[in-house]
Amino acid sequence: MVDTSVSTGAPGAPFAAGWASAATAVHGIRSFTTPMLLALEPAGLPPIVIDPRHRAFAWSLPISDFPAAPESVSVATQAVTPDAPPAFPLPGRPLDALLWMIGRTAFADEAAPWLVHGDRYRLSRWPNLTDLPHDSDELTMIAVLANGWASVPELAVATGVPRRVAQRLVNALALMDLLRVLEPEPDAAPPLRPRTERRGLFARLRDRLGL
Amino acid sequence: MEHVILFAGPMGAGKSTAIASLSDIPVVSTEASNTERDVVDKPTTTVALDYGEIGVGADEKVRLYGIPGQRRFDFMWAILRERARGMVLMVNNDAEDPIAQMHDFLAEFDDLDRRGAVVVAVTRTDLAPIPAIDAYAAALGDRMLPVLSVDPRDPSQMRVVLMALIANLETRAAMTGATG
Repeated sequence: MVDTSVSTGAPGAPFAAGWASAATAVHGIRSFTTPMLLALEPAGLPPIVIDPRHRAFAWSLPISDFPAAPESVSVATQAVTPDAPPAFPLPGRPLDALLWMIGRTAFADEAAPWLVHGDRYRLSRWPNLTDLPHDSDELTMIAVLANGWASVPELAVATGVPRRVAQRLVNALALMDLLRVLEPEPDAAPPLRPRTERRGLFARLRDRLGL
Repeated sequence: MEHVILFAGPMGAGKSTAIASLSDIPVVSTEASNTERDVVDKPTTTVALDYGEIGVGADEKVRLYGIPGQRRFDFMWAILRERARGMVLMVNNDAEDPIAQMHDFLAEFDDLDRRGAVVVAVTRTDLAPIPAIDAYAAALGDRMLPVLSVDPRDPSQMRVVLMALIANLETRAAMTGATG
């Protein structure tokens, strides 16, 4: 599988080492009319094979071994015909679980390059959170995006989290292709009410369950 | 203060097990012989209710009610529906048509559905990976309900399900001005 191959993670790169080009490649091939397979190989680790047709990946390691900041990640792509057999025995592992990990770290606190400043986002479906490590702030932000449009700054204000935390979540959800996008309207009213109920049952249960 | 959360879904979806995973107290179960062994091969099934609870504070509880899956007991659904703040709708992925079952239960509890007070918890995906979780979400159309795969025996997964339900219904209420 070597149609193209790039390696990222040079010292001084503006993004978290390694995953930025991988994320950009995963996002980029969505616009291709020809189905593509990807192989991502973090330095010193076995390759991760992605078959986007089946929203699945295969890796010989558990996802808990995902390296947040590898020295480099080589990216290889291969075009396949639509009816080509899957790249690995199905069902494989859910691709969302991998893209969640990549998306939260690939661009550090910056916006993914395909996102446009000022755009508003809304969830197209909930991520399968039982499969994804997450904290209560991320759950709260996902609930906000499930129920209304928000830009990254609006999301941060509505949920009381730092903007960089909101940005990382939006990066991940965008990489997972779970967001609809609304371009900014100059005179649009703010789509969100101020802060959601911070001491509601959610907050009390979170404290009670030690989450 | 009390908050009633219903656990609904067809027989065999894991409602009783899910409540046991979350409850602070031993679950109070009322089970009897399953007379529909041709539908689900288990010796007993919930006839009236399962009950568990989570203490939140000195005078605040989340009450967890598992309601019977069989339609002949649907009079119990009406009794509890009025008190319910939210519902965990459990469907087992190895059923003949689990998405149709999801639609059937959502129609029965459409008031909760409209308030965003439902989370769909899909069980037994290890035994039957198809339909995929995406397929449930697609079948819901514009209704933005959480759909999560879950092992009801796993307390940490059940906590994610419960917290997603509460986060969604409180956020929906805050953003629409509705009362939760």
